[in-house]
Amino acid sequence: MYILHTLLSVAITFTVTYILTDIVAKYMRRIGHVGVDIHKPHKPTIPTSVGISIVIGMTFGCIVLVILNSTVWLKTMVLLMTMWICSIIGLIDDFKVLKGTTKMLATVIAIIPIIIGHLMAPDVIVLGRPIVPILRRLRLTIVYWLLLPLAIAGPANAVNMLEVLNGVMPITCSLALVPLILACIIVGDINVAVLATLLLSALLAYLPYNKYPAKVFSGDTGSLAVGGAIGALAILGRVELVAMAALSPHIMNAFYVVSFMRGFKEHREIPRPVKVSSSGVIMDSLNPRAPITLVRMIVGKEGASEVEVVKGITIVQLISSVIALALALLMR
Amino acid sequence: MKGWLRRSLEISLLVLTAWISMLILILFIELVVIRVYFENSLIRGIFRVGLSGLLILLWLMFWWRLTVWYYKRRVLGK
Repeated sequence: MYILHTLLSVAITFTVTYILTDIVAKYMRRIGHVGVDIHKPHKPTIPTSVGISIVIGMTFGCIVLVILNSTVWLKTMVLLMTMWICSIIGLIDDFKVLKGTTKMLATVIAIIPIIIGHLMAPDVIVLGRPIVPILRRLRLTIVYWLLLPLAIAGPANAVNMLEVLNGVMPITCSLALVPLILACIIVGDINVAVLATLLLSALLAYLPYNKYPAKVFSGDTGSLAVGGAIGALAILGRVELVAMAALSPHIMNAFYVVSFMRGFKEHREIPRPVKVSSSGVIMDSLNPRAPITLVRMIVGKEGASEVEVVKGITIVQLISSVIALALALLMR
Repeated sequence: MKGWLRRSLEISLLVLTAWISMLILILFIELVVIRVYFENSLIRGIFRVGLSGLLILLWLMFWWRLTVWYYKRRVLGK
């Protein structure tokens, strides 16, 4: 019966996201909310902030799941609130352009639903002492609570920073969710595994629109929400280390940018690490003031096409997901 | 092998290196650093958190240096 509930919720999430993406894209183009695809030589304009369809699709799927199985209501509610907070911050940034530090600090408040959920039901939403291979539980105690504000803000902004090419966000986040789902099953939290499966289905429904050549951009609205959701799922399922491994490309990229720029900067303030030739080849800008990024490392001096760079990022993500899967299996 | 493919595989190797070294660090912190006992709970807390933090900072610095070396040597070919 639980499998039937899951399948129905997955089907609804997928269908709603798929249909809504097209509707939202047309609306965004009508109101003139478009972004420029700077990695194409002819610089087309693409409707942006369409990632809201992922959040709405998830909402519908989660509502159906709770109706069919009310025992999951608290974790579902916490996940949805976290996603919506991140999405609204992203929407404000897409329309109003927030400073990098402001956006980072704003996403910290997305941890509040998780803390409230823990205070309401500490045996359902358990915080502290994450599970790791071999050692089983880490003795982080007070350090865990000091790091907790970054548990949503970190993945949310990391996913946002790597979303620079067509299809990167749905492809990498889908691959990152697979070991997360398996890890949740291994530790026995089937409910969180189901919620992660709903997010996976929403991303797979969104992918046909965002893959090369992209017809929609998710904007910060979508990428912050998806990253925040992955962070929330990691905490709810107590699989923080597996999530960190799965999001290695994103975390690596964010670490390089923040370290090089000595802080959180809005992407318009960051010197461009790559340039695009008239034939569409992306290559290193060789600008010493620009940060080292994953894309910059993959294209090198000779450059690569956008499709090749996305394939390269997918390869790195695949290896990261395998590492995460190995960590999940070691947790048994 | 195309340049982008070779570099993607090399970056994947960097990720694997990072995770293996991080796991070794976590095991060292949990099995050695945390087990050092001081009577005074404040000193015990400062020692554990301080040394763990220092080791993690050193690991991040090592990771940063490795990345810059890789970028200059293998990507730019200097």
